[in-house]
Amino acid sequence: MNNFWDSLGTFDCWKKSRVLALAFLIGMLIALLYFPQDKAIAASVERDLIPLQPIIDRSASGDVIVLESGRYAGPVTIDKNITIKGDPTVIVVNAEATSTIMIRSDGVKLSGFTIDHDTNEQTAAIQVEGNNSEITDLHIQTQGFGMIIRNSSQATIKRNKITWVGSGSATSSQKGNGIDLYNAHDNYIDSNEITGMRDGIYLENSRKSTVRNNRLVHTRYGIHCMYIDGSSVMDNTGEENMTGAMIMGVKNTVISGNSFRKQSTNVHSQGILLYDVHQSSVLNNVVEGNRVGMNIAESSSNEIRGNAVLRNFVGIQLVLAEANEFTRNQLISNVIEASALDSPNNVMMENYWDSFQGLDLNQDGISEISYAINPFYEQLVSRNSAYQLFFQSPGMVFLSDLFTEGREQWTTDKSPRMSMDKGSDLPMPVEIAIGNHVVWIIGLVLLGISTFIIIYMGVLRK
Amino acid sequence: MNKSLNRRWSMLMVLMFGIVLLTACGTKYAALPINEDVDICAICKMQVKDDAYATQLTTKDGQNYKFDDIGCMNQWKTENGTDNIGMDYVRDYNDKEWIEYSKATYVYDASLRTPMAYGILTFKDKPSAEAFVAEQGVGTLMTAEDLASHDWKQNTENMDMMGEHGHGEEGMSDEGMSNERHQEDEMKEESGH
Repeated sequence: MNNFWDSLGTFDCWKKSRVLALAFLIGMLIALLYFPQDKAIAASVERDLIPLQPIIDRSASGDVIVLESGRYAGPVTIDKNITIKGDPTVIVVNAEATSTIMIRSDGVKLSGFTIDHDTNEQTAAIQVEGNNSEITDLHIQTQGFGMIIRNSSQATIKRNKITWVGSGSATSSQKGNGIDLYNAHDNYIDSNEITGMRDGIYLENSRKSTVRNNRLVHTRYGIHCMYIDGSSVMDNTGEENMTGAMIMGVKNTVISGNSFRKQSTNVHSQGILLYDVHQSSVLNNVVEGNRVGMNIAESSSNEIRGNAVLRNFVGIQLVLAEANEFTRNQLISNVIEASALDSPNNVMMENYWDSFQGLDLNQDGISEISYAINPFYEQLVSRNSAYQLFFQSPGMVFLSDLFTEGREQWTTDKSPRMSMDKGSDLPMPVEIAIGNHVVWIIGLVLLGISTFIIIYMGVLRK
Repeated sequence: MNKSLNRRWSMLMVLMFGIVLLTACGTKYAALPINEDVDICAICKMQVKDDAYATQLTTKDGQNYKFDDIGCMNQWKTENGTDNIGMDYVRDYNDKEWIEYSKATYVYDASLRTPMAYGILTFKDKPSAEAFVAEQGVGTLMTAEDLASHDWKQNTENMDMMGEHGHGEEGMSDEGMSNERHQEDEMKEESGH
């Protein structure tokens, strides 16, 4: 310190004291601004927290507890079939490393209030281990999981909002899942909104569950199914996830009416991935603006019908997909419409491929020329993924046109459609030019004015 | 003039020698670190997490494939054969150190949760594997040779098994139940995928 002041030999005494005073003042100001206030807030929070566990303990089985506005202290355990209600100003707070609300009894109902789960552990805002729970209209802000549901059946989870409030730079392995089911059957998950979690809705080893009408944004995998049987995933929407729906190890499941848009931020982003999926139906989904629209791998005997695959980098990708029925899908404005590798015996019919130039001799709307998917892309990329860089470069297009050996074995649409299926009920965002006369008139007027100006200002002045 | 040319030549020779040395080193295999942002399993396409379940192999022509579960690596081997594999690695369950596949000790039990439900964990030595089995109360010790005859069954059937179990639960005492659940949860947390 002394050395420092010595080295400032040019400073005279007056200047030194002024600098010191200034430093002191700034220090005081910072101290004033931060220290006491912080402590005051923390203290008041601690004081204002209403203990929730005693309220639950006092209640009898079958009671309805309506919480008044305020902040309540978690964690709590519910071991009898009670109902807890509240409005969003009722906030249950927990910073301990256990789940905020642990449900151990059957028939517990929670609705309307807010949960702040402020601990980055493998714990959840709500952990369900009882059957017939009803969890509705909750606002969950979590730094761990949203809900963990274990070995319990017939839960109804509706209209909840689950939001990640932890660090924005947290990697997906530091985050928890929005709704995480394991060995939980006959559950009904409807109209929830999940943002920023690892997997929005994660189902493993669960049967007969319904996932409907949920909205999944900024997650790793919006909906992630592992080893599921007899379930349905319907009418969900997902945006800007790493992958919209990861459907893996699934049988007898319906995936319909979902829309997954803008999954393109990760190098492996995709709208829907089907891996090891069998005897399932994938109907009327919209995948738009993704890196890969639909990736179908090692899956067999599925019905894939009426999906709209729009504006993706790769529309559909088939790898080791066998004996699937792929009909009446529409592939529009994809950079690479489809790629297929080692995918024999698929029935491909009546799809619309917008870059395909067909020939319809008998005017039945179906081309007499078939559409074959060139496996060149897939083969090249599977060897070295860096070759993606060269795609649509003239040399590559030329090479892939040359590469026609073994064309009979390519995955082929034998009867591609000549035009888009306008009768379908899909929300097709394709603009149709209306014969607009106003535009014409304005155009002509503008043309007239500009001609007038050019002639009078330019030509005549000479 | 001649001298400087000579010097240039010797420089070139040193460079060439260096390059030869470097490429010679390159034939030795090393496990690559996992990058969660870009690494996906070569088989199941799921994100490979930087955890103890990750495995990888490098082929003799230098291609590296990563897997999120040892079962996926086994799947790759059945699809592509093992002749072209330079080295394959698994990770120690406790400290995530990369170990050669042939030198690791394996613990299998259908109830162990792993990303693709193959239920196999890996340990760098036998004592730590034995300690794990003693602690968990389940698991069969295996070597890499034993794995060759392993059936690689994924634990997806417990959809039904556990269902039956679920019915039995109602009759059981609360105490026993909750203990059991706790154990299961802990396992799940560790597997966390």
